[in-house]
Amino acid sequence: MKKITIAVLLALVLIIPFATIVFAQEEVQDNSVPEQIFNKKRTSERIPELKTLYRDQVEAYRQAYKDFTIAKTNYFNVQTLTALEEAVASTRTVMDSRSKVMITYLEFLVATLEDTSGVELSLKQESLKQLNSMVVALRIHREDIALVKDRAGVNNLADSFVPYAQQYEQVVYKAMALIKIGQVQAVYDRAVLTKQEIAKLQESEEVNAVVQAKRERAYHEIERNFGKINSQLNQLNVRINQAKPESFTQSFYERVLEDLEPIFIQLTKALSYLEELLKL
Amino acid sequence: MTNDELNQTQFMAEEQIFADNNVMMPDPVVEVKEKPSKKSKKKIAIIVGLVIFFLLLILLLLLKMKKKPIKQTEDLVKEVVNEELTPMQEKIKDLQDDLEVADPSNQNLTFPPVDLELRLDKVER
Repeated sequence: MKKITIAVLLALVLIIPFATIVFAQEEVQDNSVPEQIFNKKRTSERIPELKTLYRDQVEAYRQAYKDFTIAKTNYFNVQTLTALEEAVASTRTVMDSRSKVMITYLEFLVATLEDTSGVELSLKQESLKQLNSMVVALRIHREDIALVKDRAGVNNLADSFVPYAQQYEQVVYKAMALIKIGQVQAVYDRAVLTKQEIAKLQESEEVNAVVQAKRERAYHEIERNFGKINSQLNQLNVRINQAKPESFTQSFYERVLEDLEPIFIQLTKALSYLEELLKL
Repeated sequence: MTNDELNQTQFMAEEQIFADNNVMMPDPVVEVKEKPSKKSKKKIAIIVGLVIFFLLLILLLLLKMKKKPIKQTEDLVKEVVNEELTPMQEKIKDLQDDLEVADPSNQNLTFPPVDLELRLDKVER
């Protein structure tokens, strides 16, 4: 019995240091988590909040639009004063709901554009100014909606909204195009800097002639790729600069996306070349 | 033995059974328990000790696995990624991630799905 007790004690003595090792590792892992978070790239905190708000508002708008369609159809079917009251009220609700969606989307574009580093500064400032004045205009429109009480009032509001709608489209599509071009431009600019850093790093390394030749060919190919991307991006920026305010439409934006496609492919290729270059 | 001495009329059965009192009886079997030697005692103690040690070890591991299995796996994955990538490779990885966001086919910016022409009554012409 005495021997067994000794054995148990021995086992415990052996187990305790092992257990402390495990806990110590756990502590190290816990400490490493915040570091990972702090190393993450900086992003605007407002963007995810606005995205959530926008999603909720779109949902509310859809419901309001459904109610508006039902109330409007009902009024034209029954032609009673009660039905008219309901139709006017639902029109006001859906107009207000629409304005909220439009304002939040503008605010989302403002935050995204501010966060995009590859946009030409003058174009960025101009677009931000347009977006912000559109927000102000829509807020005034919302105040007008709150004041309207009758059928003629909602019809007048619908009429006065037409120029806003056109302006809204132009401002939004311009900002969207700038963001998309800016995102690609930002990656390109950083890729050029990364290539220079790699070149500096590899300059000090002593390698044989074969590897050196391989590296030179890789640099040449990457340079050629970057040249193409640069000229295509310049062309796009020139087009944006020369475009008239009324030309920023949906089709203009879609053309920009089409033109960005080959640039995106070239840039993807260039990044994988850089990855390969590091291994040489 | 002469023939006179031999009584041939006496049958064997009439002979006294167990007349001879000096019959050898077997000794009663007494089970003698052998005391375990010192060596075997040590062996048992070591085996018991090892069994307890492994049981405790398994118990400890099970408890730890139950506590934070997902977090541990995530941490391990992150550690492996961190160990594998050099700062320059990490930079390229970041660029690739950002390029993915910039993908023109990525529909993260879509015009608000609202009716810009909604009105109660049709436009009078």
